[in-house]
Amino acid sequence: MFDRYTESVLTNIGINIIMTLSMYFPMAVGQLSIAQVGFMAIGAHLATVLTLYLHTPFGLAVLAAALVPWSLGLLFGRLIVRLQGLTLAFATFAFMEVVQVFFLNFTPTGDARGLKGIAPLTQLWHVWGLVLLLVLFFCRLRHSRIGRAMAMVKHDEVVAVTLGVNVPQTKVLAFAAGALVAGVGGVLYAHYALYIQYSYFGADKALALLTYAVFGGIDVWFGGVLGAAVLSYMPVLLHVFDHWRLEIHGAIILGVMSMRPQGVLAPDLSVDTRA
Amino acid sequence: MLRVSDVQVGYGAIRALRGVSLEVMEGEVVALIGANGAGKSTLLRTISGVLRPSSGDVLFEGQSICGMAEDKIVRRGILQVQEGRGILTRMTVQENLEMGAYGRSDKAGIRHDMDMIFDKFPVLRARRKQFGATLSGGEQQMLAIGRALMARPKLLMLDEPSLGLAPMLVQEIFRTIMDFKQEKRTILLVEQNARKALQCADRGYVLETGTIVLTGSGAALLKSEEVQAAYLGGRA
Repeated sequence: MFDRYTESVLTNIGINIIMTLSMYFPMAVGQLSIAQVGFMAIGAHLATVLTLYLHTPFGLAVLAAALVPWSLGLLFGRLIVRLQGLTLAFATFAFMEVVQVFFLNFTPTGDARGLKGIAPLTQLWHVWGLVLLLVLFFCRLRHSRIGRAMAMVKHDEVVAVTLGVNVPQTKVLAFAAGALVAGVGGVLYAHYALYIQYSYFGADKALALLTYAVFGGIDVWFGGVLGAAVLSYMPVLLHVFDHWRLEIHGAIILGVMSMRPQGVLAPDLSVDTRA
Repeated sequence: MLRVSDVQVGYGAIRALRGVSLEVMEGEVVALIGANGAGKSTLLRTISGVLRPSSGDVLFEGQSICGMAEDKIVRRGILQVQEGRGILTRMTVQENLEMGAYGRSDKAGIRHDMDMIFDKFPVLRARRKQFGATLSGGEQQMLAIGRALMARPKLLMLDEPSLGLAPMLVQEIFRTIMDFKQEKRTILLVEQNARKALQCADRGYVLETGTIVLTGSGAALLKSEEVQAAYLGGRA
């Protein structure tokens, strides 16, 4: 349908949207998690080993890349359930760093050299099919029981308990869900980029995702979609500015943030909502 | 429906409740009155699971809920409206009510209940799209009560609903409680405003420094000399 180049660009944007949306699961319960990139790495490496060395069908590899991060997410989510704010962010950041160092040293997954020659199994419809699924999911979330629980936990945990919400369970589930999506994002990335290496799944990528989220609006999931789409496409558009690309990219982000600090699509809550 | 048996609760070395027993039967309004620091809020907190008694038991519908997690107790049907109200400030009135229906999945029933609550508290209907934080104290109190009602509680516990409210609003709150009585809801009402509370109640308990010193029907307590002297301004 599209030429190779366009397909490549669209796939890249789609994967960025998936990864950014994976952050919105923990954010929906008020947890700022920087661990998604770590789960992405786990999903990517695990699935690649399966398809590359064990000739596993793609579907099974995706399943593995979903289930392992999910389980790890449940475990790690339990550990961090009592953390808030900055400490939580640091703990998730630490998780990502640990995962990165692990893959740096783990020879079966290529340690410092990475894994190459990955089969190009990711198709455009895989990526955008998942994006569509996630969009539908977030649309319906607000009106569902679990969605209400998450909104309450995000707003005020104490009140949430008085209305019958199992707060720890809700937080852990949200975190694990984000991990699962990040893992799947990792598989899709690996079989699109065809080469993965530990250094990709680190602070740079995490910061990029965070920038997409903040730009589009950290409080609303569709902000993440916009942020990821716009900011991952922008470098392509900015090609015309040649070596000024990065500066202009940064300037645009700064400009938008100073005019709309809550993010492009987040509502303007300039009403003083303090009781 | 609710039976508190000989409950002892302490905050560290301070014994807040020393062997308190009370009962609330289905369909009745029970008032718990007493001065500040008597232990009324402590008792409510023990029933809702925030505090654990060091001895004694709390039975709800025949089953012990002593030591159960708070959220589980709420899901069993005991809702508490706290002083301080716990309004979700960054959500609208309507959203607050929707959150109250958290455990429910019957859309039609939820809509019906919301209409019912707006009928009861017309001011909430007028402000349904406004943020919780922009409501006055009295409106927040009504919202808190409305939200608790959205959960269709079996037992509703009200902790000092008239606290800090202007006299006109106090009247409205107690009028609402009288409506609850008509609707045969099961209510445990904790109040410092002894007169109004006993006027609404079927039965009452008087709590003083951690023990129940008096109990009886609402009317009887209103007339009793001790209550009159201690809580109702007494006779000269």
